[in-house]
Amino acid sequence: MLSRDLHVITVMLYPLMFSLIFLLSICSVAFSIALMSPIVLAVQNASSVSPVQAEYAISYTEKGADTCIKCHDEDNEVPILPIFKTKHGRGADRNTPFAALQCESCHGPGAAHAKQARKEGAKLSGSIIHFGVDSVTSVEQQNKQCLSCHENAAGAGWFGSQHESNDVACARCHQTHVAEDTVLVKDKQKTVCFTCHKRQRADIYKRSSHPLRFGSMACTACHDAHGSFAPSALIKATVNETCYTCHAEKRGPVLWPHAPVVEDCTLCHQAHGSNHAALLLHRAVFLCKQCHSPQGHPSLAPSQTALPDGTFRAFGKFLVGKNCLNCHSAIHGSNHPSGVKFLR
Amino acid sequence: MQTTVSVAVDQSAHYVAKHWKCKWCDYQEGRWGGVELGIGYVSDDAYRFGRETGLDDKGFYLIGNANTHYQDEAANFWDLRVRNIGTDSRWLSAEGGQQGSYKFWLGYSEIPYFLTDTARSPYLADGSESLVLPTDWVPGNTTDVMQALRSSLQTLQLGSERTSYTLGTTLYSGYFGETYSLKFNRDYKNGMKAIGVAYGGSDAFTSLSVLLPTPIDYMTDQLEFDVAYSSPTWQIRMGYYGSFFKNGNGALSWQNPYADLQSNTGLGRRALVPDNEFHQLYFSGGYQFSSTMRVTWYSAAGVMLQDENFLPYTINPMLGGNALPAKSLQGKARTWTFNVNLFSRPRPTLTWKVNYAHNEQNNKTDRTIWDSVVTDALQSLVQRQNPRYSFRNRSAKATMRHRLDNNNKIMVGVDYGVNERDNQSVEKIKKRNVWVKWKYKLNTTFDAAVKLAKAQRDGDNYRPLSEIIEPENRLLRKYNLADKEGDAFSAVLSYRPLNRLNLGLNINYSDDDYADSLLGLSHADYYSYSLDAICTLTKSFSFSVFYTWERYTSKQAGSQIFSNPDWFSKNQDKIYILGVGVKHTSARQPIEWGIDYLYSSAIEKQVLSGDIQLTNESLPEANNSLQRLQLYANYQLRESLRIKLSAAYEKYVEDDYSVDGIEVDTYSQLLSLGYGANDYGVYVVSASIRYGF
Repeated sequence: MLSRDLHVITVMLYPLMFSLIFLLSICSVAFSIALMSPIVLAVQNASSVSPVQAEYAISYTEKGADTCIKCHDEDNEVPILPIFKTKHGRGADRNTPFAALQCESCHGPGAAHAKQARKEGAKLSGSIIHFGVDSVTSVEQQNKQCLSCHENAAGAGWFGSQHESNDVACARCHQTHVAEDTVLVKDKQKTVCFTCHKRQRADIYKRSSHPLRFGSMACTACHDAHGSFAPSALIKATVNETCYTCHAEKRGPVLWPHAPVVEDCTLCHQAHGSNHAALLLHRAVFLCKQCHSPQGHPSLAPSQTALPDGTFRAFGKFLVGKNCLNCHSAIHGSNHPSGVKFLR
Repeated sequence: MQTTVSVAVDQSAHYVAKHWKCKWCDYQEGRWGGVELGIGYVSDDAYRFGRETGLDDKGFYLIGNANTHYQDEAANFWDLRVRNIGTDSRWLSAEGGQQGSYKFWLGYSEIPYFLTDTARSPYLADGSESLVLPTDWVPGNTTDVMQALRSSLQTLQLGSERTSYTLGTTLYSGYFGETYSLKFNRDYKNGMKAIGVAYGGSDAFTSLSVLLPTPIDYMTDQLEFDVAYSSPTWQIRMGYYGSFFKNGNGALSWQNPYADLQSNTGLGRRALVPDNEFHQLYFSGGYQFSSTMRVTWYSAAGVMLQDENFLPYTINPMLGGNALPAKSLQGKARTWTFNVNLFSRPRPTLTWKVNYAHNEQNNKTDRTIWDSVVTDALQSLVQRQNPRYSFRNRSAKATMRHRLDNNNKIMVGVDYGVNERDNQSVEKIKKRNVWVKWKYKLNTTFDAAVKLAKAQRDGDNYRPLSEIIEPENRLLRKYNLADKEGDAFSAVLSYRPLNRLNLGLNINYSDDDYADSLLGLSHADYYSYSLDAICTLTKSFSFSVFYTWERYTSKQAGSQIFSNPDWFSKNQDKIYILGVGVKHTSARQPIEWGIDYLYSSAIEKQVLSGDIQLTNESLPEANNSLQRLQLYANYQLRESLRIKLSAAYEKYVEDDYSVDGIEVDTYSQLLSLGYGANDYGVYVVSASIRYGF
């Protein structure tokens, strides 16, 4: 916890920082428009290519995929034949890599790679575009290859998304050289997501959680990993709109709405998993009292005295069973003319 | 060290490619896939175990899974995937068409959500809207004098099953290269849940409650149609989304089990969730100004509708004789979302992003004065006007990413937001957030990231709402409206000291202080860390382990005498999760096997303190734990035939004072459903054969 003084300074600096970054952003936009003419871009691109790379840049293999498969057969450390069981490997579709430059549609010109491999061994992926976590090819370049075809599927929300900002390569989640891409299979997808999202992995083993553990639901039921305009890359514009895709009964509008329900389900619920029933942030009797303390029973302390052996067991109906919801069960809002207190 | 390879694809390359024969390309034509059939056995009835697995009953079950695919030389294809055909968690997905031209798909799934099978109630729960007591029922003023209660209890199952059907089609390559998609989804949710109702009493202390087994009969339809167009510079998508919810039960009435108070009907009635609709039009897209600058946007306008006929104020003719001011709500709330991003990379090492977001919900429902019959045996003398909660959230965000060198990258972000609400204790809130993140990547064996964030939320003057019948304590601050200061820290570290060993560490910390909240939530913090290790001991033998520790803490205060704080509670949840896996697989040997172990444990604790009698006895700890051990082996009999064996033991134990030992009549003013925690320990063994083709 930072000290109060430091906090005050931070708050004072905040508008200044925001203004500065906003100004710089505008400047960068202007710079982009003014200076990034095609000629400048051409010069920039040309200057980024080394003489060696330039030599290889247009050096495609003589035989295309046949050159690649000669080494990358089923016995190779990087087998590629299963790609013909995937959508990428359907040459009859003019949009696929195999309708164009085959392997080199994605991996770039491969003549140098093949030539060097014959001379020096197999570990020569640096001379082609190589995909994956351990790749020597930059994440940006890897993803650029994918986005050159998948610009609509991933492009609109991708730039600036959580995954793009954190340099997540497409190939970190997707496998293209296997018959079945794990992340696209509902009951297996979570194993891919959980390689990074450890908190969410822990959540599915808690007392209440969404049904991800045995694969009845996938992460993509709520999230768009390629980026969206909603918080946490949700599939709909807001948290509530996303929740309503499965829980439409909570939507309303109703005569007596409960204010936080209308606004944001996560004010009371922890979407991935919770140690409390119904994915609640806290045990309901404590959660309710974090917002309600009028005169009378809602202000009572939830103490052991109300348990069956306690001295004030008459108050147990406020504590056990569904506690506050033993009476106020229409907690998501009531459409009954007398439902002002969510009793009916 | 990462490299960049220039790809200069020119027409000559395509000319060359035309002569590539691809004679070794293994283009698939015809069918391939696999079908798995077998039998499994569950050692015990375990309702909670069936919550997601569908295996709640003791006995044998069918194992049926399939993956089948087809394609031909014209790119016609279909894919079919079937899982868990013999259980209540079965699902199916199918897709077909001509790749690049059109496709259609359909899906079917069942998701069980089982809560308990030990609930007991005197009501005849047959799934109808009307709950009746046995004919020989003897009402009592309290549960302990209901003479026929124990003899008339029936065991019930609480839970639900969701069944979902999906149908859709996509047509690619329209006249301008656009894509059309149409998707329809129907969900059924059926089952039974516990709903609490109050009856009689002049106030909450004397009111009498009943937990009722209430039928669930929901149906939701969703329809979506969109058109998308993309080119290297433009991506556009526009469409319509509609959602239509219907409840098969509009109301629930029940026979009063308590001795009749003021009612001469002996009945109570409450509304169930009403039918509703949502319609939305959206338009989103992106435009690439240059290779370094891009704008993207999303806008959507929608309307939520609800017009279910109201029930009368009460089912009791002796109360609430006034006519309703309206037959139905004619509820209408408009939604409006707009989001725009400007993304720029002026230098290869520097990236900016500016975002503006607007999210609004405007409730247009008429406001009217309503009488109130609190329960069907108690009339309230206070009238209330129905509230309309509308809100408007606006935010602006700016982020910068700068790659300092090949190893270091820094990211900075500032967010500013304003939330405005109607009819709430705070009408305007300002939110500020600033964060910085540093990423370090030494090479492919080591990388790390650290993020620090600081947030502040300030609202206008907090005022308890005057129109609330029982006003809130003036010292209370609802935590979603209260002033707040927050700090957050996270760190991720990944290290591969050896080619065959991967280590990972994740740390998360957050701390929120509600300094002005003398009553209500005053503090919340969260700590967690995860350790991961994956070791490939040999090419065929791997070992993995992870351990996660979490601690949630919150502090809150209350006032029993509607004055200054007189009780305080520190609430804490600690969670420990351990997972271990061993796997042996080899391309040269026909057998692969593995062992997975999982242990999850949670402890919930509250420490109460206060200066008056009721407040100084803390509640007992509540615990739960889950353990699972699974052994599995697959044996390849021949190339197309594989035998799969599995044995698992899973145990769940829960101690919860709110249900343990609470019988239907433990409390004189609460007729509960008398169920406890659904502990179980079950063995599941299975044997199956997978045939590949």
